[in-house]
Amino acid sequence: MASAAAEFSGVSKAFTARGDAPAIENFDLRIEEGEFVCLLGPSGCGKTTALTLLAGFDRPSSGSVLHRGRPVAGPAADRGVVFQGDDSLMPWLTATENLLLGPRIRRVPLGEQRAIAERLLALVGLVGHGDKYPRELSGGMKQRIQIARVLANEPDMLLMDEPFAALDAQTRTHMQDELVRIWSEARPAVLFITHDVHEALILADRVVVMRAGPRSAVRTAFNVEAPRPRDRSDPRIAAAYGEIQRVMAEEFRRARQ
Amino acid sequence: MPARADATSPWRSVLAPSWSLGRGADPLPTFVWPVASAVLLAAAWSLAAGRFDVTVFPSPLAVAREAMRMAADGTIWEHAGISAARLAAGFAIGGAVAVPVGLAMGLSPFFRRMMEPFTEFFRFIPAIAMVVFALIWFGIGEASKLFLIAYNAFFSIAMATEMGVARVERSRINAVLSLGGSRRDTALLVVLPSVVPYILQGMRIGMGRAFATIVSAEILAANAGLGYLIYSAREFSRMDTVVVAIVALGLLGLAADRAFVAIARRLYRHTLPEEFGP
Amino acid sequence: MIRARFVEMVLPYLLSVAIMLGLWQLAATQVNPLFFPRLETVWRSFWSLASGDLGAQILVSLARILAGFGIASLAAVPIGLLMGTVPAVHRLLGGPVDFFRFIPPIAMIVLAVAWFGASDVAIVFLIGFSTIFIVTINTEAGVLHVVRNRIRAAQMMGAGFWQVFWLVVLPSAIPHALIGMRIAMGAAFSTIVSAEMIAGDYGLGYLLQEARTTLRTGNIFVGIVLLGMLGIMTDRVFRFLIDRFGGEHAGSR
Repeated sequence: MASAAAEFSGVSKAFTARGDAPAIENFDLRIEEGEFVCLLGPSGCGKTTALTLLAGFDRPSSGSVLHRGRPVAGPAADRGVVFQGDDSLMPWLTATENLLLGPRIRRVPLGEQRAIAERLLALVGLVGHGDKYPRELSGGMKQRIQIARVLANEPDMLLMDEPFAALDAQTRTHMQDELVRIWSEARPAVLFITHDVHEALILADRVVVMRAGPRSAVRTAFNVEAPRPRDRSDPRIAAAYGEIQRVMAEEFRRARQ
Repeated sequence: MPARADATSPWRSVLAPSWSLGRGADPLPTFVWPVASAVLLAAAWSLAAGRFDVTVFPSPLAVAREAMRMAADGTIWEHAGISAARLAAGFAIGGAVAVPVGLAMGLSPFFRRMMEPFTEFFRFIPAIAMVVFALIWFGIGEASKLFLIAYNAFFSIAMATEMGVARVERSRINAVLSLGGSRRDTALLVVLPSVVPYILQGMRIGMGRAFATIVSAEILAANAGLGYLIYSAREFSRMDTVVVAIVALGLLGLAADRAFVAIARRLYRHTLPEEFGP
Repeated sequence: MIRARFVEMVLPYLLSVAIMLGLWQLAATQVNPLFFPRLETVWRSFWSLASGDLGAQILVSLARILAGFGIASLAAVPIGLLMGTVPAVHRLLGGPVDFFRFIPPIAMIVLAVAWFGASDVAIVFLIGFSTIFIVTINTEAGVLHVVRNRIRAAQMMGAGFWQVFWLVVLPSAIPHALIGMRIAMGAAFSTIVSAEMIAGDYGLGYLLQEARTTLRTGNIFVGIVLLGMLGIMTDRVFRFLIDRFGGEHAGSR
C-alpha cells in the first residue's frame, strides 16, 4: 500500500506538566493524498492536540505520527498550518508581506515573489488589499491572508484549526465555498478541525468524530459522497447531519458527566 | 427630560461627565484651552510670587527676563547641552549592554534565573544611591556620571527587553516554523520586530529616571550641567535662574519622551503595545 | 524529579550569587578594599550601625516618605478623578500636569529649601512633588478607561450620575490609582536618597553621603542593601493591594 499523506498510529499525548490523564490515547487516523478530512468533536476532546502533533509543534508521548511515510520531526513548509485566531499574522507586515513570509524564508528571488503575491491575492480574492496591515482588514480577509500565506509554500498538506470559528455566519459560509474552490485547484490533503457539523459536511470527503476527552480517540467516521460544490439543503447532507448530530450529542453528554 | 435638552447644548461636551453618551464637538476653538490653562498657571504663579521676595519665589516676569538673558548669553544652552550629552552617552552604553542581556534573559530560562537575583534586587535600589560608589570608583569626572546613567538605563531597558521576549506571540513563532523557517528566521522575523517597541518603551521609562539621576549627580559633584546650574545659583539666591533651569529640564524631558513616542509610532504604527497610550 | 527541579530552579540562583560574591571578595582583596569593601567588613559595619542608630535613621526616612507620599496621594486621587470626569478640568489642568511630570523632583530642592528651610518640610515637599503628578495621571487614566458597557449597564438599570460614579467609575479607577502609587513609591525612594544626601541631617541618604565623605565603604554597602530591601517590601505591599482591589481588571477595556 502506498504511504498515506498522514498517518497517526497508536498516538498518545499527555501534558505531564499538569499530571492529568492524556488528552488523546491510542489515536489512529489515516489521511490519503488529496483527501479532505474534517475532525469533529466536543470541545476539550484533543482535536487541536492531534493537529499540533502533525504540525510538529509538539511530540507524541507514544505512538507514531507519519507524514508521507516519514516520522514528523518538527514543523516544516510541506505542512501548512492555518491558525484559529488572527494573532499569528505579523501585525507589522502588510497583507502581501505576510503572505510572502514563506517565499522570503526560502529566499525566492524578488521577481518571483511578486508573481506569487499577485497570483495568490487573486486566488483568495484580495486584489487591491495587499498594502493593508492586518489591523485594517476584516476577520474574513485576515483568514484569507493566512490561507494564502500557507499556499505560497505549495504544501502537500493543509492543517486548519477551526479557521472560521471567529467569523460571522455569512462570511463563514462564503469562506467555506472559497476554501472548496481553492482546494479543488491545488488538491492538498487537508486536516480541518471544527466543532460545526454543517461545516464538516460541506467541506469534507470524510468526517471523523472524536470521543469526549480525556483519553480521547476516534469514535467513528462518515464518508460524504455528495458531489461538490455541495448544496446545504442536499438531502444526503441533511441525513448525514442527523446521524452525526446524534453521535455528537451522545459524546457531549459523556463529556458533561 | 432635562438630559435631553442638555444634549443639544455645546457645553455638554466639556462639562458633562466624560462617560456620558454622544459627546459633541468642543464649542471653543482649539487654541483656547492651552491659552486658558497657561493664563491660569501664570495667574496662580504671579499671585503666589507677589507675596514673596524674588530670592524666594520669583515672578513669571522675572523668570522670563532671566530666561531671555540666559538664552542670549548662551548659559542655558551650554548647561543643557552638557546634561543632554551625558544622558545620551550613558544611555547608549547602558542600552548596548541591556539589549543583549535582556534578549538572553528572555530566551534562556537558565540565564534568566542566574540574572534574577540581581535584576530583582538592584532595580529597587534608586540609581542615585549608587552615586556614592560611582564617585569612589570613577572619581568626580565624567566617567562616574556616565556610569550612573548607564546603570540606570540598563535595568529599565533589560527588564523591558525581557518582557518583550516573554510576550512574543507563540503562534507567530509557530507560523514561521511551519512555513519552513529556522530558529534564526523566527528570531529575525518574529522576536526582533516584536521586541523593539518594548525596548523603546523601556528607554522611555528609563529616560525619566535618568533625568532625576543626572540632576542629583550634577548637584553632588560636577561643574557644569543643569543640575550644577541649579545648585550653584543657590549660593547667590538666584531663584529666577533656578526656575529657568527647572523649566529647561522639564522641556528636555518632555522632548525626549515625545521623540521616543514619535520614533515608536513611526516604526510600529500598527503594532504598538498599549503602554504607549492613545 | 526533585533533582531536575533543583538544577532548573535553585542552582542558577546559588551559582550566580556565589559568583557575584566571589568576584566582589576577589576585587576587595586584589584591587582595593576602599573601593570594594570585604564581605567581613560589610558584616562588621552592619553590626556597628545596627547597634547604633541605624533603626532610627531608617524610621526617619520612612516617615518622611510616608508623610509626603500620603499627603500627595490624598490630593492626587480626587484631582485625578475630577480631571477624568469633567472634560473642561482635564483640558485646563492636563497640560500643566503632563509638563510637571517631566521635572525631576530633586531639581526642586533649591526652591524647596528656599521656601521651607533645610528642614523635614522641604524633604516632605520633594517627596510629595515626586508623587502627586504620577498618581493624578494614573487615576485620571483609570476614569477614562472604564469599560463603556459597564457604565451603560448601570445607566440602563436607572443609575444617575453619582450612582454611576460610586458603583462603576470609582471601583474601576482605584486599581489604576494604586498602580500609579506603586510607581510613585519608586520615585519617592529615589528622591529621598538624593534629598537626604544633598540637604539631609539624618536618614538613609544622609548615612550614605556621610559614609562616602569618610570613605567607609562598608557602611555604603549596608545602606544600599537596606534601600533595596525597603524598596522591595513597599513594592510588595502595593502589589498585594493592587491584587486585592481588582488590579486584574485594570488593563481591560
